[in-house]
Amino acid sequence: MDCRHALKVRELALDRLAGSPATEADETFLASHLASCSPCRAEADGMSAVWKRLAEDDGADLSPSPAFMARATAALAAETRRVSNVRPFRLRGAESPLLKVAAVLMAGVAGFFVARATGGGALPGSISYQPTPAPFRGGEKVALVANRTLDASRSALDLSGKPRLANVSYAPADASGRLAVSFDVTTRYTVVGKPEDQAVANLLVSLVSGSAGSEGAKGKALDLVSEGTRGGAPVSPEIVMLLRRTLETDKNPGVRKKAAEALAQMPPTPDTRDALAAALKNDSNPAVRILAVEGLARAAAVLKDASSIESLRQKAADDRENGYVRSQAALALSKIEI
Amino acid sequence: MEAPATNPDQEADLVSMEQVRRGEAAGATRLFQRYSGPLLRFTARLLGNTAEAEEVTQDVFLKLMSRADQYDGRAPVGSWLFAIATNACRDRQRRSVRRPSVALDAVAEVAEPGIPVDERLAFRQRREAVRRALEHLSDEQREALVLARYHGMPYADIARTLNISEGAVKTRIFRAMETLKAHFSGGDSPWIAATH
Repeated sequence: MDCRHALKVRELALDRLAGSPATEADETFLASHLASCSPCRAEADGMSAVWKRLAEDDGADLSPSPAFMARATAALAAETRRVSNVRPFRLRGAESPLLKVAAVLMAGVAGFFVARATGGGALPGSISYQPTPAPFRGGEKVALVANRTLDASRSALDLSGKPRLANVSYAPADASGRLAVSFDVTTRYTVVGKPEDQAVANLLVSLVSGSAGSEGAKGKALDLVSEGTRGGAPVSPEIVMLLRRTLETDKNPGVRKKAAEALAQMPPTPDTRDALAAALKNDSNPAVRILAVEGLARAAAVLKDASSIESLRQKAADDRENGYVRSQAALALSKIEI
Repeated sequence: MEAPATNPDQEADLVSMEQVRRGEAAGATRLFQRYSGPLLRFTARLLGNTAEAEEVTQDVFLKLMSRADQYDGRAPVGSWLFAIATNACRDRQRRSVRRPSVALDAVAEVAEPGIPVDERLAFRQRREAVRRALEHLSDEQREALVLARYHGMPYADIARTLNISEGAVKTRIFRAMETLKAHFSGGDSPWIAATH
């Protein structure tokens, strides 16, 4: 076809058939072009004819049969029973710290004896593993800096640990005869601590705020916060602020849901209550609002304040709200003992 | 934050998903009542076999229950279910060497009272012709076209369901339309020559 508008016309004609919204300018262009270009009009009519012809298969014979409905409903009921019998694995709060300490002690003792037996060197024929540096020594501040330049005339490099030097590049000697060798030293850090420890809190805040690099990693950081708060452990104010900010601004409803879940499980405070009340009022996702209802019910029971109860009462009476969310709010109110 | 979910059905779907995640039977029941019909028609058109479509549709809902935690709310629940169904159909198509052996219209159909027999027969023949024509499409083209034509799904949702770009959705639908036009008319389309 010779028309130079053929590609655009075909796209607009298809959009019109598929019900895709078009701008007023596009609609005007299509109408005027089809009125004046007979080849394009013929093609658009042809497409329209095919689209109409497809409607001759109305799928009436493809409705679910009663036998299928009965069979599938029974299978779903069986699956519901099976799923509700499976309880997710949870660490037992009272025992887990003791178990962790015991495991660390046992690993330390075993490591000591292995190191003494082998003279502290690499096992014969094995890969030479680099020890993980201990980042915390007596409150030492460890800078995870991007770039450092060392003056070789004033520094001595300790390469005895055989660090892996990656991305090595060289700069030729300058007028004074000084050359440069650049490299990255890949080191994996493991930060160990309680959620209320400043370093752990800062790290989690940084990860959830964006340095995790992906939505999945951000979600895992939030899961870790939730796991830590489930047993009622204290939480740093930075983490509460982070969760509140995440709940208010994150575009991903899955991430907001995790933030709401973590807040709902924490020991209630005015800050967590306000964050959950705002989510209950404003969040567009009903799953987030359901979690906010649960958190506010806990806050009302613990804080015994009128604010939480009022938020729940308003939600239960909100006739624009989804029925299930309203019923959950009413249920929460009925369980609160003042 | 995302735009508020103004569609009450989508809002109700999200609540149902949360119920499924909590192990409450009501959520799965509601989603089954709402989507079993569309999913059965979709899978039947992709597979060309009603018995297999029923198996796939049932599996979709079993997967819905076991994978509810994986749903993150970014796509509509419907798109997510259609995506599970599409993947299940692709698995079936990969496993089966031969094309479907049982025609869809072999399934007994309830006769509509008041419609003469010859009209019913003519209608069934036209429907059969459309389904035969759809078999001339590639699996990818058929998926996109069926979602657009028979389920009224917007390009953006089709793109999410099939995990491709909106541009790729349009291309697949357009190519499908060209193939069908040639099939129905028995000739070539000038647009194919002009643009490819």
